[in-house]
Amino acid sequence: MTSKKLNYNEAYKELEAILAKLENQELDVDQLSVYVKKASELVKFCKGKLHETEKEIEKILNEMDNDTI
Amino acid sequence: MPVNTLSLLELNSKIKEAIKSGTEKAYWVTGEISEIKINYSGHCYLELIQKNEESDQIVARSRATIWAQTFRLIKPYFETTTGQPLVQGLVILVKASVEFHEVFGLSLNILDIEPAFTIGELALRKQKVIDRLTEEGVITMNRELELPLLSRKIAVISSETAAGYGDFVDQLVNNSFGYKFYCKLFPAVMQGDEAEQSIIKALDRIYSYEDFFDIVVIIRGGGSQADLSCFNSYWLAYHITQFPLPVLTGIGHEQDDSVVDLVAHTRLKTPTAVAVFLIDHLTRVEDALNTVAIRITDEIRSLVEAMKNDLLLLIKNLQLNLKDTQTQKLTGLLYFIHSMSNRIHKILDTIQQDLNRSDVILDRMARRQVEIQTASVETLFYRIQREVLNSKKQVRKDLDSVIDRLRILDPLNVLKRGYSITCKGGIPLKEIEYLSEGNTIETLLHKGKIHSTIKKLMP
Repeated sequence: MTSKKLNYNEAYKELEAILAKLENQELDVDQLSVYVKKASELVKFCKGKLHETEKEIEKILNEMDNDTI
Repeated sequence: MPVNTLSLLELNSKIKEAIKSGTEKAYWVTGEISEIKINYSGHCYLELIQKNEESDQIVARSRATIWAQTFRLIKPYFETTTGQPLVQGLVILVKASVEFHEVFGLSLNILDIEPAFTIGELALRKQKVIDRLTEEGVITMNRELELPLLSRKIAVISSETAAGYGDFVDQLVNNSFGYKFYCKLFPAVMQGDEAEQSIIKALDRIYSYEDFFDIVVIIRGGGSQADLSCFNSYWLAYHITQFPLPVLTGIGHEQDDSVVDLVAHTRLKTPTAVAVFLIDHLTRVEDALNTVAIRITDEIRSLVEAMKNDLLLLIKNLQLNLKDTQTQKLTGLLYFIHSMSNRIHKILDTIQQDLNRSDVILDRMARRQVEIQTASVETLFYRIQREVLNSKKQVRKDLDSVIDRLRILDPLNVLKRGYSITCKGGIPLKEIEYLSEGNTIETLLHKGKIHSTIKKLMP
């Protein structure tokens, strides 16, 4: 029904994985900038999910009105 | 033609008389309410039945009446004690006299009621449902589901008119943290005998949107005494245990938890409590997110710090190496290293400042600013990597040439070119002052040594 590219749980788990890599010093300095970018993207994604209105969801909810109920 | 005929009235009068003399003044009787009606004048008319426990077949049936005068006393007493109105399906214990009326026939006249019996009966029934769900191994299934971190798309089962639903939605929508919730009402009858099927139907409708919703909430505004036996029904409870989404309840019981509360993922007392729980949940989720973000920032910051230290160490080593050579010509190289290290330091400082500023990642109000910051941190990281790499290469190259030059000065290299060194007792000889004829001296060649005795000295 909805094409979920990335969900909150996955994004959060990825952030935890980045943190674990940093803490265990598994990250190369060369990769650092890549991970800074990735981490900030994931945080932004999660914040958006928590706080921003998603038109897509509202559309689906409105369609339900005409549909089954 | 028979002689002794009776009119119907005469017969009924006889029956009335027989019943009156054949029964005691009153009996305590148990029976299940199969019908109950209250008429305009406040009289309560019931039908009581008894069922065979195994086959569920009706084995006895009788009409009963509670006259308005008695009913006015019995009703509130029963309801406050059991937390439950007198409704169909309840098994009650009543004190009743047997009445026979010539026109209306046989009826029980209820004089008193014992609510404690019904409480016990309901508890027993509830326990049976719980036992069955436990035996079937399904009782904890909904509780075992994981509440999604992001629980914000909510399918609400409630009655459309109940104030409980409106309050619930208001509270979620106007939460002070700015979380975005999406509520969808799936209307259902929330009390009485229709409720069980009505709620199950609502669950079925939600099931077709299983992928869309995060959770299901069953709420009911409190208020007057209502028949909530539906929330102890086996089938409704069973449906909830099998539901693929976590089910949260806020049914507003005065009394104990219902079976539905028991099997629900999370049970709360009221719709308001459910809203508070959901807002709290997102707060916890966001706190966890912030913590991870802060820790990642800190880790990166300390990594940059480590890079800085590495750089310092590298430069120090280079300087030490170069100082050892004590060559004036290397001043230029030292200067180069200093300026290089200053540049790299500056870049690292900028990264650190950016990281400090990027704590605004955590401040949702300044999200856009963070985007820019992060982008600049990213390009800076690329630059520092390039710079460090290049400067390392450059410094190493310069150092190599210094070492090359020093190598030329190494005596061994001189020997290679055909020169030799003469020593006495390991000390290189520059003059003959302390030598005398007959002394033994050594000559070091590029390859090998010569031991020789001095035959003649020439100043």
